[in-house]
Amino acid sequence: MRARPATSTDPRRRGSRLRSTGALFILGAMVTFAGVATASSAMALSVAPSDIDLTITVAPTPPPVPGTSETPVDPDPSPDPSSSTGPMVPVRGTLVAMSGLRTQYHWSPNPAQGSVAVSYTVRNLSHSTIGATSRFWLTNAVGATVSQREGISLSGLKPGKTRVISATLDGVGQWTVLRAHATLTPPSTVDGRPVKPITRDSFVFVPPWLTGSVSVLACGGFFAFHLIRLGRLAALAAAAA
Amino acid sequence: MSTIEELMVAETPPASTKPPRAKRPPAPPRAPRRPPRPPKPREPLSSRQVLLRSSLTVVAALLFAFGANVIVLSQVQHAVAQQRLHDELAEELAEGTAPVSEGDIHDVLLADGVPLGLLSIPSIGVSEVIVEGTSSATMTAGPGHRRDTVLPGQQGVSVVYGRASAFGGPFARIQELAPGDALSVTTGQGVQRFTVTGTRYAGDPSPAPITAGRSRLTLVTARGEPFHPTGVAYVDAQLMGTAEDAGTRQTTFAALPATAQPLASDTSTVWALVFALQFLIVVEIGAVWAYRRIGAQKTWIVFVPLTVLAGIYVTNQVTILLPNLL
Repeated sequence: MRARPATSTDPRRRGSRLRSTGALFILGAMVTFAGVATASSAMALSVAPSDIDLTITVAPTPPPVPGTSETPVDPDPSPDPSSSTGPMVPVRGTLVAMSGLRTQYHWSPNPAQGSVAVSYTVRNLSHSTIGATSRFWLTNAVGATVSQREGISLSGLKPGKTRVISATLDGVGQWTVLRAHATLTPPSTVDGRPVKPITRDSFVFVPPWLTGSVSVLACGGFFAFHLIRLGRLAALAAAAA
Repeated sequence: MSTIEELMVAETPPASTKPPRAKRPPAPPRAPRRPPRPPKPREPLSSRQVLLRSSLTVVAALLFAFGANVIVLSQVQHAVAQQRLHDELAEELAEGTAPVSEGDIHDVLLADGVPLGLLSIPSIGVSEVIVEGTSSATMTAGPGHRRDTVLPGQQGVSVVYGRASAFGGPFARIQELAPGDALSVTTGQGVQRFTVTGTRYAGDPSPAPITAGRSRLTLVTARGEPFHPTGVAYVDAQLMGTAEDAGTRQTTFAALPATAQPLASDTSTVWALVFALQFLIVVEIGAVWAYRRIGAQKTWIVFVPLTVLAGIYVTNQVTILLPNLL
């Protein structure tokens, strides 16, 4: 049983054309998605070898011997980072611990406004009281800076103490995809050891409510107009009959 | 009859003489300002164009299925796997047979995917069963324990990988953990309580070397946008209390397969992808044949479930090729 070929004036052909258009649209979106996914995977794989420092966790552990338990011994014990006091020996490893970023978007009725609250926690693992400065900034999908705050100072952080640093970045607008960054710049030397600035970043999603609202209204208006027009045509056809 | 009554009778018109009010005829429908456009005649497609259109349609459907699999279906698969692993681990803990080394109670090397412990991070709502192994296929079920490291709570450094986006994204928020936050891991040696010491990126200073009798847990995940990893993030946690004895480990770092490294892909099941694609092609050929010979309705009923099944099979195999921390 073969399907009857439809003529070019058949309304089903129009439906077929709509379906084809929809399929092409989906295809385009999927191809874009696949390109992004492939690129991201390739980037991740290409980044991985240089971005991974496996010696961080593996090097201190001696190779295990089958049948025996591994008991790594450190001849130079460091203070327990979880306690506020420790033996007065030179600290090995991290001197200033920093968490990742916590972000929260705050909506504004002004489409050009809106803000993102960014915060992180810092802990002093050294034996010295330290101060530091912090910088927060937001970048959009192409890397351009959208908003920033500099010079936020942190002073008098005693050994073993923890403090939360936060800032509110305004002017988020409708950028939708943002990255929040924060850099903590401690003193150049702590406990006689050089210390480098620490940077953290995080993904921020900003709902594009203006674009979304306009799209919903436009689609609703189009479909309402289409339905009314179809109703009139049907009534006209009935009246003519 | 009085005169007034006669006048009233004379002035009152008879009710039956008033004609009924005719209903207004319905207004004719108003024609739209612009009549519908006549459909444009379409040129018939050549056989090459038909083939190209059909191929692109299949590719589009596969890409759509792949996206749906990674974003939606993988979350369901992860939830089902976690339920099964939780039941299995609870049974082993109750019987006292939960693994405490790289082998089981019969000294048989643990297979990939065996449950090892329950990781609980209340501050970010994580409660996940950790499994042995860190390959991409293994970590579809949950966070994976790297084989060459000790179990959480044992003397030494234990490393656990977790996905950031797909398959539940159990470690999506671990970077929010602040120094001092608490987490725990329930293993065959009891509840091990840790406190977070910090987050690290590549290039950051390493934590202090672990000392005798101490235990550190390092959680590893991808950083960057969801489904777009740009690097690796490490969260270190220090054991509160006395470390347990470390069990026997047969696997060393040198013997660790490449598929167990962070952001590594698992290509060991590409053969299954080939078979899945063959199955999909056979289903498509059968659908075309049935459409021409049997008809659209019966073809739809029979071949839509088969096509969906083949699509899920293919996209599942493709998903395994993605990085293990994604």
